[in-house]
This record gives sequence, structure tokens and C-alpha cells, in this order.
Amino acid sequence: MNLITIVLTTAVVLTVLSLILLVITIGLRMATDRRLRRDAEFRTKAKPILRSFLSGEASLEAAKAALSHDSHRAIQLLLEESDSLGEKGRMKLHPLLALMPVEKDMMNHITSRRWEKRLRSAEYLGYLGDDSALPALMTALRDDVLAVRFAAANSLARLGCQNAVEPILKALDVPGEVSQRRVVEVLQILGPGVSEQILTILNDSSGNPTSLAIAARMAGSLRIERSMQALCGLLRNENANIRINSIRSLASINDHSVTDQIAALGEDPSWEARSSVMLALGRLGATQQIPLLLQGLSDREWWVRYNAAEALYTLGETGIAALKEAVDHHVDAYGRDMSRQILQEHGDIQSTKEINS
Amino acid sequence: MNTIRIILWIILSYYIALQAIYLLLLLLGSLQIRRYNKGITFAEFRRIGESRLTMPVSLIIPCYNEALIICSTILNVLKLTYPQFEVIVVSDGSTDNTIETLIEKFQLRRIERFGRRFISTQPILGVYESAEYPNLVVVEKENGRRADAINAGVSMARYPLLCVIDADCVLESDALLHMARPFLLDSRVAAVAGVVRPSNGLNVVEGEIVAKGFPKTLLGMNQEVEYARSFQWARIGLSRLRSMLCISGALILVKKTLFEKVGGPWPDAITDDIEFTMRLNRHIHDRRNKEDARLVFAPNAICYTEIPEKIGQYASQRNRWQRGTLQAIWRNRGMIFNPRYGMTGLFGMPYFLLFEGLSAIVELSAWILMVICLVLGIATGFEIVAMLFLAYIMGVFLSLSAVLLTEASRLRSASWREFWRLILAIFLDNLGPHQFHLLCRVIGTFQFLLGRHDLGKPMERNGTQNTSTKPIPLTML
Repeated sequence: MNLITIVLTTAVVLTVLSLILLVITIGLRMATDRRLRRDAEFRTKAKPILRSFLSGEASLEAAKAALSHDSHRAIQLLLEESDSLGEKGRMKLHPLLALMPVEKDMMNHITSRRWEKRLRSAEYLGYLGDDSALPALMTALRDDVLAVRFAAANSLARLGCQNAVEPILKALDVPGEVSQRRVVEVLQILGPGVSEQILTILNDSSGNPTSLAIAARMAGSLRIERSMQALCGLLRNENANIRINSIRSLASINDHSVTDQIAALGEDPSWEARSSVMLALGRLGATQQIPLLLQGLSDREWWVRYNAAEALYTLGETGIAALKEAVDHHVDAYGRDMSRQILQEHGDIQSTKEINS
Repeated sequence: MNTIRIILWIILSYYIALQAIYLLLLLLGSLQIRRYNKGITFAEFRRIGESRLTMPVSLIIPCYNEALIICSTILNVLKLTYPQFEVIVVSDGSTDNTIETLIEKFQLRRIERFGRRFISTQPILGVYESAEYPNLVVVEKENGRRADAINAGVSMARYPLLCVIDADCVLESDALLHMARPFLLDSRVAAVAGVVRPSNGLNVVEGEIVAKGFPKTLLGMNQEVEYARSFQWARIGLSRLRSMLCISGALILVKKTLFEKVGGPWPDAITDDIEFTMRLNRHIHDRRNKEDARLVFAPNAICYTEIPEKIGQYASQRNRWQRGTLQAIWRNRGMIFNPRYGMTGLFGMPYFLLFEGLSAIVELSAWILMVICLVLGIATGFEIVAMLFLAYIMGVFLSLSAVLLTEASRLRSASWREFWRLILAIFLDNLGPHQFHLLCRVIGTFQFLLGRHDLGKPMERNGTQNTSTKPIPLTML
């Protein structure tokens, strides 16, 4: 076969393929148009009835009738509504969700070979499922894909599974502060019922550093006062994340007796830790630490300076006076700038001229 | 005669390799988009919008003599859906009334503000804050270049993520959420690129997109197709191969720490975005740095930018892009075929050099060679036409694939009329516009070799995003 024959054959094949592509594109466009139109029609009819049902104005039968003729769109609508409702409101949707053929499918999808299906299943079960979904979600916590494990953890928390704390911590033991904060967000959904488990983790300081960091953060978000001693101990931990979370939690618990221990970390090598110290001192109302906060105004990191100024402002009259003083007399230009910026942000001064006058 | 045949075969091999890579990118790109869309769940997306741990963003808009459009751009970004962000507009020595317009529109007042200077820039003349919008900062500085303005903006930035956009950009309201998502999912993500599309034809009122449409002219439609090809599969495919060496300056989100480590964009670059992306790649893929970072493409983060619809402006822009590409490659030539940079050095840079930097020269050679072959009787007229048709239909096939992917996304054309205009543009692209584009790039190549490093004439803004070509209201989409 010579070159020109190959060229011509390829050109003909590509022409045919191009035509097929064009036909597929037109078909796709028509299908999308039709789908969007039907979506709009379905929502226009079903959404008001569903809302009426949730507010008690329409009967269950009326809501069922509005949703039953298109289960796929009905599921989407119910999921959206479920997402925007609280725990009690969500319960109202269960009789309608029970009508849908989705739950059984979702249980099967959790072991699908395709991670996208497993992800959706893990997520939807949190909205649709009841306790019968827990074993499937526990299985999903051992998934290879992190996103699936996160979705399963979130759903377990949403379903109020208190026993899931340890499996969740084990499943989501991944490095990075953002990931850890995501785990904290998940566990927060479970509420104060998990306090004992958090305390157990905190008291075992030789445990997994990631779990320890998360537990330290959780102790603050749940305001577990019994965790104070453990948290103070963790202020000396070599892991910066654990120190930072302990500082934040001690500030959240709001016990003024720990002020000095927190202030001792004012020159911590980690800027995030220094930044947290500044914020904590503000929250704890530590007026005796104003010199440290003024020193923080000239830190090399912007966030430390910002939080030091914010903390001074939070301290009230004494702190604000120190800030105003700093606008003109702080030894560092960055410190003067930050003081002015915070005072302006809070509307205490309009311009530099005003403070000078 | 033998020499001509050898050159002919070299060009043919080049063409086959190029098309094979395009097909590979098309395949990878479409698979990646499918995977991406399936991986997004509405609850997760909602969490990003509400979560306190979504990283705050400093959005930097460098501008030079953009009084006509800058207010619309600022209003657009101030309306973005994102938990916490600030907007820093840097007027790079504008000689029109940009600053006065901004002062009047946003009730700016002059303040004293110091930033951390990680890189020296032209002097800052003044910093302004808005009484009405607390998250808006305007910086007035002496003229440098776009890169210098970005660096000055970064020195004022307070947040850990930096988003740089052009002064003529219009962002979809959820663009930042889509771009921030990869940072939440993977702490190794260093920068995220988004999709850029022409804004000519959009109808934007007070910063909000109220209707969408395509450009009016054929030249504009050709660029619409070109952008679709580039962003719908090429970049996402390249990012999969760790070879996304060009992130458009119109939309990039990058970690501030890394931005500073790399040294910010180079003020003397002809196209600072290409040069910066290459240097970013160079830093994160250099095994000695042990960065373990990655660049990601977010196909749902959408930004619209004004494209030139006048021949002269188009030629000037493409000439500059070509010179900028060659300059960036030359400056980072140490990466080419260098195993120290992994896939980026062994595939990305050679691809960029051969199929982006030098493609204009190779294509010009092919045209010249065709004429020589015809004159010397090496090839018949029929054979030449067959070759040209193959090139034509391959282009059509790749562009149609891009349109197919576009139609499956939220960027689908607003009406059947627009759709057919797009298809028509695909069939007409290789019958003149492509050759003109080639000419601009060839001239750019020679001018670069002769030492031209200026930025050319700035594009004349029409503020086209404020008018529309019979757009379809969004409610109909």
C-alpha cells in the first residue's frame, strides 16, 4: 500500500468519524434540551406540593402522587430538600424516600467496582438511609479511595452512629492540616455524645499523632472541660499540629487559668502556633499579656500580626487603647500599619489623620 | 531530490506524531472530565461553600488603562460565591482615568498600608480601601509590566491562596469554589487552572452574567473553537501527564507560599503566565526540591475573557504569544529531555518545544515543500490535495470532539443558532483563519529570533461583555 492510499483511507475514515461525531453531538444536544425541559416541568409541579407537605398543608398521598411518576427526578429533588432540612425535617421525608427504589440500589452500589458509584452511594445513604445502612457505610470506611471514606464517615455521622469515632479516625488517618480539619468537621456532626471516646484518645499521648491532633481539636469544639489537663500536656508535644489544636481548644474551653501556659508558646517556631497563641490570648481576655500581643504586631508572618491586633481589639478598652497607641508609636512599621488596619476594620478610626489628630 | 524526500518524511512523521498526541490528549482529557464530573457530589460541593476550612483567597487583578471595563470586572468578582476572599486591584501606572473611576465608583479612600515585599517591584504610589466593600483594595503603582503589578498585588495579599485574573475577565459565580476544591481534597495541590472562554457575546449587567452568547464575527467564532479545543481536552489531558506548562493568566489559583518560593512572575517576560507556569513546573517537578506538589485542572471553573475580533489586534496578540512561548521555552530549556523533571522533562517540555514553539515553522516548511514538490513533479496535484484534505479533516475531527465535550458540559451553546454557527466555524477554520494564524506565529518567531521582546500594542477594549449578540436568557438553558 503506498503513501497516498494510506492518506486517502485515513481521510475517509476521519470523514466518517467526523460525521458520526456531528450526529452524536446533535443527538446529545437534543437529549439535553429535552432533559432540561422535563426537569423544569417536574420541579414546577412537584416542588410546591413537597414544600406544602413538609409544612403540613398537603397530605402524604398528594406528595406521593406528585413524585411517583418520575422516581429518578423525585430522588434528586428529595435529596436536595433533605440536604437543606435539619434532622427533624429530614425524618418527614422518610415515608416518601421509602417509596423510591433507591435505597436497595445504593446498598448494592457501595461495593461496586467503580469508585464513582461507591462515592455517590456512600453519600446518599447518609441522606436516605436509616440504621440499616450502617453496616454498608462501615464497609465503605475501608474503601481504597479517600473520597469514598470521607463520604462514608460523613454519612455515618449524619446518621448519628456514635460507635464510628474510632473507625472514622482510623479510616481518615491522612497527613495534612486540611484533611484533619475535615475529619473534625465530620465528627462535630456527632455532637457531645462522643466526649468519652475523645478523652480516651487524649489521655493516650503515645497514640497516633493524627488521631491525637483531631481529638485535641474536638475537645475544644465540644468544650470538654475534663480535657484541660491532657490539653495542657499536649502544649509541649513535638508535633506542631497537636500544639496548635491544643491551644485553640484551650481557648475555646475558656478557662483563664491556662493563659500563662499558652503565652509561653508566643515564640513557637511554627507561625501557625504563634498565630493561635495570639487569638487564644484575645479570647481568654488576657490583658496581662498585652506586651506579648504588641510584640506579635511585628511578627514576620502576616497572620500572626493580624491575629495579635485582632486579639488586642478583642480585649476591649485596654487593648484598643494599646492599639491606638501602637498606630503612632509602635517601633515597627508593620506593627503600626496592622494596628491602624484593624482599628479601621472595626470602624474605630476613619483615617490616619483622625488618629493623629 | 533525495533531500526533499527526506524532509518530506520528517514533516510527515512530525505531523503523525502531533496528531497521535492530540488523539491521546483527547482520550485522556475526556476520560478525566468524565471522572471529574462523576467524582463531584452535591453535598461535598455544598460543604466547600459553607466550610470554615475552605482556604481564603486573595484575588489579584492587574490592570493598565482599563477604565472602560474594570468596574464591571470588580463588581463581578465581588459577587463570587466563596466564604472568604479579598479583591486586590493593581493599577499599573494607568494613564487613563482608571484610579479616578474606581475612587468614584467604589468610594475609595486612601490609606497607609504596608505589605511584605518578597520581590522588588516598581514603587507603590498609593493604596486605597473601599468604604462600601471592605474586601476591596486598590493599589496604584508606577508602570512596570503585568508581572510587576501581580507581584505588587501579592505583597499586599493576606490570604494563603492567590487567584490572578485579567482585568477583562468575567467569572462564573462558583468559579472559586470549583478551583478551591482540589486544595481541600489533596494537600499536595500547588496550583489549579480553570477554563477560559471568550466573553465577547456575554451580557453582563452590574457584574452579573445575565445572558450568554458567542462572538459575532467569524474570527471570534474561530477563537471560540480554538479555546474549546485547548481547554476542553488539551489542558486537562496535559495535566494528567504532568505537562500542563501553560496555565492561562486569565485564571490561576496558586498557593502563596509556592508563589513566593518560585519568585513570582518574571517582569521581563513577554507572556508572564507561560513563563511563570514553566518555572512553577520546574520547581515542583525538580526531584532535588522534593516538593511532591501537583498542578490540577478544574474543568468546571469558568472564566470569560475578551478576545480580539479585529484582524490587527488578533495578529498582534498571536505574535506576542508566539514570542512569549519561545522566550519561556528558552529560559527553561534546561528541562528539555531532562530526566530530573520526570514526565515534565521527558514529555511536557519536548512537546511544548516541538508542537507549540516550533509548529509554526514546521507548518510553514510543509507549505513551502508542497509547492516545491509540485513544481519539481515529486508529487501530483491530486496527492497534494489529498494531503491537505487529511490535515483539514483531522482538524475538523478534533474540533468536533471538543464541541461534543462542550455540549456535555455547562458551557453548551445557548441556542441551536449558536450551535450551528459553531459548527460552521469548525468547517471554515482551516480555509483561511488557520493559515492567517500561522502567518502571525511565523512572523512572531522571526521577530523573537531578531530580538524583539516588547509586549506589542495593548488590546483595545470594547467592553464587549456588556453587549450581546441576541443572547438567550439563562433561564432557557
